[in-house]
Amino acid sequence: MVMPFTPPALVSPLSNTFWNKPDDFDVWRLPDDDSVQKVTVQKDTMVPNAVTLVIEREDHTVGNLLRMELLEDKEVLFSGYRVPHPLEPAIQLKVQTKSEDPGPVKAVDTAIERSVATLDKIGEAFAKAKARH
Amino acid sequence: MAYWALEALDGSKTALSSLDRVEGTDPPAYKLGCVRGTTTPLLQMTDKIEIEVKELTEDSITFVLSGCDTSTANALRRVMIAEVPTMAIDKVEVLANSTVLHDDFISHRLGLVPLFSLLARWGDKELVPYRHGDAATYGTDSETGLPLDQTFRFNRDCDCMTTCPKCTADFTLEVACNQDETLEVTTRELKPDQPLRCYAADGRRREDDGDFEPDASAGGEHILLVKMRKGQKLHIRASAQLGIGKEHAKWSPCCTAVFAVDPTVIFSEKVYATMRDFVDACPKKVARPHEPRDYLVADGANEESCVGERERHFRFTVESTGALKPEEIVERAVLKKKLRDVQANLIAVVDNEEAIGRG
Ligand SMILES: [Zn+2]
Repeated sequence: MVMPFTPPALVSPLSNTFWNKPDDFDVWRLPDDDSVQKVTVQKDTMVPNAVTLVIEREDHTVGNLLRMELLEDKEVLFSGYRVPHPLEPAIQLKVQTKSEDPGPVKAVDTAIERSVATLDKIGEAFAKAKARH
Repeated sequence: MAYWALEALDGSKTALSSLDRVEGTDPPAYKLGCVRGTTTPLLQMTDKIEIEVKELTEDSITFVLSGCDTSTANALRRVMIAEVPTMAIDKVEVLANSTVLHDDFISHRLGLVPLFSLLARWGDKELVPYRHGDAATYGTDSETGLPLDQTFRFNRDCDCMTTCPKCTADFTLEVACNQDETLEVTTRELKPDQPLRCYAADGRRREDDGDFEPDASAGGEHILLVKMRKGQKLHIRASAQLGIGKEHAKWSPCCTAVFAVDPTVIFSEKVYATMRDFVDACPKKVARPHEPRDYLVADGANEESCVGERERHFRFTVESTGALKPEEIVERAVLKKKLRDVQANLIAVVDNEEAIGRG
C-alpha cells in the first residue's frame, strides 16, 4: 500500500523565507536568479598583466589544481589562490603573466585546457586498467 | 631535512620553477630544493599517465595513478569524497513512533543509510539515460512508468512543485513489535516505492549492464536502525533525493578515499657500493643509488642517504559506503565538468567586458 506523501510545510520550496540561514546547497550551486556570477575578473591596478579571478562556489579542489597548472606555464610569473573566508564558498585566484599576450585570462584558459586533457587521459587510463584487471 | 618538506608540500613545482633561476650557478649555491628531473612541460607529461588497478572488491578499490601532479591526484580525491552525487534520505515524515528513540534520532539515522542507485548522477535538467542504447532493453518501472535507465534529477532542477518520482525516491518503514523478544528493525524493512531505481544498500554486488533488479534472494548486510519491544510501533515515510557530499556527508559515496605516496630511499654511491645486497633485498625496490643529477645541496650536502617521496606516483584506496560501486566512484569523479564550467564562465565574462581584453 502506497500512501501519498505530503511533505511538512516547513520543507516546501518557500521554506527559506522563514529563516535567514542560507540553504545547504548554497555551498555548491549558484542561486537560480543569476544574482551571483560564477567568475568575475578584476584587473590589478598596481601590477602589469595581473588579474584576480573570483570563482564562486569552488574551493581548494579547483583552486589548487589551477594554481599548479598555471605554474607549469613558462609565461606565468605568479599564480596563487586563497579561500578568503571559510564560510563563503568562493576562491580568489591571482595570476600574473610575463607579457600582455598571452595575458593572465588566456593563461587560465589554457591551464584549464591542459588540465582537462590530463583528466581525459586519466579517464581513459582508468577504463583500460579496469578492463585489464 | 627541511628541503624535503618543502618539496613534499609543493610537489615538483618548487624544484621546476627554481631551476631557471639556478642555471649557471654551482650546485652548492642552490639551497631551495633538491633538483631532480627536468622541466618537461605537462602536455608531454600527460602521455605518461598510467593507472594500474591493484585490487577490486565489492566495496573497495586500490589503484596506482602515476604521471600526474599531486594537485590533480588531490583534486580527484576531493571530488570523490564531496562531489559524486548519490541518493540519500532527506525528508522524513514520522507517522507513528513509540520506540525509545525519538523522531529526530531515527530521522538522522535514516539520512545516513547508504542507498544504492546507479541512476544518481550529474545530469542536465532533463532526464538522462544512464546507458545509451535501446531503452526497451531496460523496460519501465511498473510503479511509476519511468524508464529504468533514466537518472534522478536534482530536486531543485525538477519541474515538480515539491517532489515527484523523477527527483525523489520514497520509502516506507512500517513495523510493529508483537513478539516477546526484542525486535531489531533494520534497513531490510525500508521498503522502496521504486525498488528498481533506488534501494537501501545491502552489501551485495550487482552485475552491471542494465540489471537494476535488486537481488531478491535472502541475505545481505542490513543496517540496524532501532530496537523495539513488545507493543511498540514505528511508521515512517521518507523521501530520498539526489545530493552531493559537499552539502551533507550523508551524500558522500566514500568511506575513505585516500592516496599515499611510496617512499624513495636514495643512497650515495659510496653507501650503495657497500650496501648493495641490502638494497637488492627489497622486493619493492624502494631504494636506489643516487644519480649524478640528484645532487643534494641543503645543509649536509653529502649526506649518505635520504628518504623522499616517489614523485608522480599515487596509491589510491577508495572504499564505498555501498551507495555506489567503488569503481563507479572513481569514474564519476567528474572534475572535468567543474573546470569546463569555470572556463565557459571565464570566457563569457571576458567577452562581456571589453576593457579587460586580453589582459
Ligand atoms: Zn520532481
